[in-house]
Amino acid sequence: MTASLKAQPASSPQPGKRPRDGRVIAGSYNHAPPGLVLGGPVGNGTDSPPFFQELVSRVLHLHFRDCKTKVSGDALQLMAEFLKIFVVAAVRGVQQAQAEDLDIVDVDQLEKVLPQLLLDF
Amino acid sequence: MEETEAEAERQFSHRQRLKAAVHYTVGHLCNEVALDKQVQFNKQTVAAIAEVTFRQCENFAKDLEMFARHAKRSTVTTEDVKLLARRSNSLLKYITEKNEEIAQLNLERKTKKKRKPEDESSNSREPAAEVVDTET
Repeated sequence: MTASLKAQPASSPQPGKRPRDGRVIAGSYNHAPPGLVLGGPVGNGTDSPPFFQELVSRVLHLHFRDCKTKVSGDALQLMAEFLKIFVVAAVRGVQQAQAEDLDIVDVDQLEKVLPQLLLDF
Repeated sequence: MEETEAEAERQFSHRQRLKAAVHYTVGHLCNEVALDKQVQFNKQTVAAIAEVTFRQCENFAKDLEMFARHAKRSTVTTEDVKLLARRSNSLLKYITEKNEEIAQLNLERKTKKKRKPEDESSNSREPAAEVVDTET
């Protein structure tokens, strides 16, 4: 995998900047999701905000080869949880790989945990 | 020829927007960990995690489509998602539990919806209050 880990985002989202089609995909997510307690079991509340599911749905459909492929509602919710765990696992792994008492976590930590993360997923 | 170029550009910008949305969400999750554990994630790390997530989504999507097609379906179901989580035992267990929770939650919502029109119908409404289930 030729992952360029120092990738700069092409268009980093700024507050107030919305996708051009007017649809607010990630705009109003100001509050913490209920029960996302990290360091223990993740996400006691299964109610992912609907915008997140919409985002998941769009990202999945972007990569489907057959346009007739659909995703059931339950599967979409489950996928949202799945992706949330993926991100949280990456974040937790990075934070745990931080050996010294640094305040800032760098990409080097991510490089250490990435292989195992990808094998697990 | 110009049309295909314009189409390619539109697809590219759509892709970029989705990437940006993913980046935003990942950043949010990172911030929560940062608050909790008193660490900071620099922008490169957040961007790298967002990039990895976005790329893995491509693999996930293709796998899900393949699983559904293998089962001669055109709709991806929770069974396909569970198959996606097969590589790590703890992950599979967690996803299976989440699936039960979600099914339970949706079932409760459905029974609540069906009960409501019966309680509220004091006017002459159609007795066959069809609750169209948009989720399945």
